[in-house]
Amino acid sequence: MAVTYRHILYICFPYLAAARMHRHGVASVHPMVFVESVKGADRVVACCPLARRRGLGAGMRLADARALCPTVHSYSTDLASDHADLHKLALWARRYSPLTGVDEPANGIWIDVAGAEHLFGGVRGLMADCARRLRQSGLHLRFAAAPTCGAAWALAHYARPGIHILPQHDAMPAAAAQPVAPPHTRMRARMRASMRQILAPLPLAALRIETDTESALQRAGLQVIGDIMAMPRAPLATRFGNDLLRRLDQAFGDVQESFCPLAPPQPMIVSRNFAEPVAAASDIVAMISYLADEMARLLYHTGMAARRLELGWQLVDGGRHCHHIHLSRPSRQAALFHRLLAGLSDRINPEFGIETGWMQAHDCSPLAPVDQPLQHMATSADSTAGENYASLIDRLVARLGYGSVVHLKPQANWQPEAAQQTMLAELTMPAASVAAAGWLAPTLSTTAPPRPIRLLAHPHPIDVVALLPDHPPAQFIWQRRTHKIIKASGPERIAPPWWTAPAGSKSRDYFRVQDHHGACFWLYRDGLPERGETAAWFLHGFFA
Amino acid sequence: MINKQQAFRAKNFSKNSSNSQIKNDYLENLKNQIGSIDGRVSRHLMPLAVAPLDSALSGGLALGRVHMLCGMMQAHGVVSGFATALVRRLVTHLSATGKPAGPVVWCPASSAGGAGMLYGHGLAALGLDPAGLMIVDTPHPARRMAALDDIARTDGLAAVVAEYDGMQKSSDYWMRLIRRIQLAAEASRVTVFLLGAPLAANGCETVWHIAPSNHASNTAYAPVKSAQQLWQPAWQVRLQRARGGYPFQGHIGWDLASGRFTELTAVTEAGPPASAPAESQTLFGRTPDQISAGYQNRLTQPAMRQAL
Repeated sequence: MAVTYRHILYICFPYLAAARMHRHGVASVHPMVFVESVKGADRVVACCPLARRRGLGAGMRLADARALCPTVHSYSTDLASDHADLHKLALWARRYSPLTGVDEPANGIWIDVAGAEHLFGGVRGLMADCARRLRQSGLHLRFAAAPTCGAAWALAHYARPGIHILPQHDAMPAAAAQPVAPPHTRMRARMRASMRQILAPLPLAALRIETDTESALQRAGLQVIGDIMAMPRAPLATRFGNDLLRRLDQAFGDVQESFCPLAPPQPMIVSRNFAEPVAAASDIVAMISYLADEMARLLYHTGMAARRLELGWQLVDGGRHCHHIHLSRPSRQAALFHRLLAGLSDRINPEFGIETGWMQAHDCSPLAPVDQPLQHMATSADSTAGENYASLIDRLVARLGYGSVVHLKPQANWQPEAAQQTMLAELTMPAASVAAAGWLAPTLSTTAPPRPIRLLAHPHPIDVVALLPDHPPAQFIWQRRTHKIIKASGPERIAPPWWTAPAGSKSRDYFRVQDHHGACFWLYRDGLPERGETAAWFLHGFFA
Repeated sequence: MINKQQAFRAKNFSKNSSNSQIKNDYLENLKNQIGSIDGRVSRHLMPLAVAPLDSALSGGLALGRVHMLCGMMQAHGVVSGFATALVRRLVTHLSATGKPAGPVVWCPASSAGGAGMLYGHGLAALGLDPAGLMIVDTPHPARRMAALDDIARTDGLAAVVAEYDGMQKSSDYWMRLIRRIQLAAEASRVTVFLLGAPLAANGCETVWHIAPSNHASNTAYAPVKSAQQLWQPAWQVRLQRARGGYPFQGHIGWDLASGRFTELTAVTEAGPPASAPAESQTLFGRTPDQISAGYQNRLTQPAMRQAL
């Protein structure tokens, strides 16, 4: 049955900017205000609950606010972030209704919950659920539900929180012969009466009228909505303009008003349904190739590029499976997709057949369309090498798994294990410059402590013959083989970082030694005998 | 291709010994033809600047080919060290031609296998820039080898180093794998080095056996004052097989300062080089302010001790 009534839930976030600052780690011990320069003076446009309690509020000059509360911290207002936050909240609110919108000037969102409230146990249940979830995420909110947008707005901003006016369900039989009257005339008199009763004590600002109009009305002695409800309309329109009456009518539902519902972001997805389940290997290859082509086309037409592709398929028995492919950089090249997906058909087990295949692009980012010939003209030999390099990374990652292609990055740490880190390979061609990279040996000469070219991830314990306290070993036994040492250098003492190391970490004395065969090893003694620590010897690396 | 007519003419020339000039020209032509079929003529060579080694390699290390460096990977680091030195030399050689050398792809054995992980500080000390290194880190040697021809096919790489650790495969597998990598490397002119235990059958361009050098100059005690002199890497190199060349055996050293191979011939009385900084000022070559920079790293008295 079609919904023949409206029910608007309006949620207003008075401290949206403050909540964002708290989310970003700004402590909430000081009152803070958000200011905007209006006619050369900094004026407060938003504040935090703490500042509100101290009597600060929107519209105040920053100087006045400082006088009232000297400890106040002021930040410049960030309308773009506010809008982005509201946009996110409105998208989140689509869990309650498909029609949600942003009320940007008043930091609020609209939700048209008509026909959806029974899913949450009625309007009360829906509002309680919504308020609980939003408060859990640290947001202050004021909200109200009413049959019209105007009334919901007014109640949310100026009435006690959580108020709602239940709409009267249309009792008119749907099969009635006479044409269905528009909703506002069908609104029951009883409901209009209750709305009048609730809205009457609210100030005139609740009607969303201009500040000039409001002050003019106040000068005429009109303070609340109730004052103008019963007045003759014509003189009001003559004196204060049509806008006042339009807003009044909108609040009571005499004039239809609606908000602009937000379009949800469309998932980048292409799919293929089969009339008959397919199981042949050639069909699966054809399906993958079709989806890759379609995906590349979709991305091209939307001007986007994907960093991750999800190839999914649904079997006859309803089982859904998917496989993800990571790209080293956003791309929409069909040829690249084909190459990355080439080996995938073997891994798909169609069992009794595949009914549907789809491909979804994730982590999309805009990519300006580039004319192919121009691109070729602009690129030199080096950048084609870079292209090849990036596609090689993609192919290897698709083939060997995520995280299998890495780079070495130096770390400013003396602990040998922590002095280098493996990072996921990037598409950037590495710059060939040892000096800038921060490795321990900046030049070819040995102006650096010796470091092995292969480091054991876990040092191997060895049996060592060595003189105390700090002599290099004379021989060591590793893997049941005795190595007589003919040359040694060291010790190089590497102490654990006392500020992070666990208690009981010992200093290490590293020796570079050469055995009688000529092989060089990196050994260390864990613990200092002169401190009374028991010394144990370990093999930590191999030199060239 | 040599057709029958040419073969017939060659037979006639061989009978006619008076016309030796034409015969020599013809044989030269024939050698070139066979060489181009073998891929020897058109190949690019990188001289290693060690005269006996270069002559054994008939000019130098062939680029765009598959080379095998065999040795005990789990017992010491000399195979990786020699490969690093070769790659470093290759990068310098490619850079000298004008355009910058591309990245080096190294597919190391699993770090659980005992060979240890590649350590950037040590690679940098040998002169190979770790920033130009792409590491393909996968624990399965068979999958690593299977991905190798894909890597070798990529244009713009300087070199590919791959370690096959403990793979028990038939010689047929190796022949086919190396042939496949060889074809891929020829197309992209990427030089491939395979590192691991010695293999019975293979079709590599060169096969090397690398061991620690027990050469007298490497192992003998010398009253050395600077670390630089003491710790020059040296390898015992046996070139088992080289296409178009002949076997070689010898001790090859590596000069850290210049990034060149040297031949260890006789025990030289190594003294401190004139440019070497005084020991009192450096500690492992670090100046006092460098030491103070590494504040958590307390160093003891400089010691260059002789044991035994």
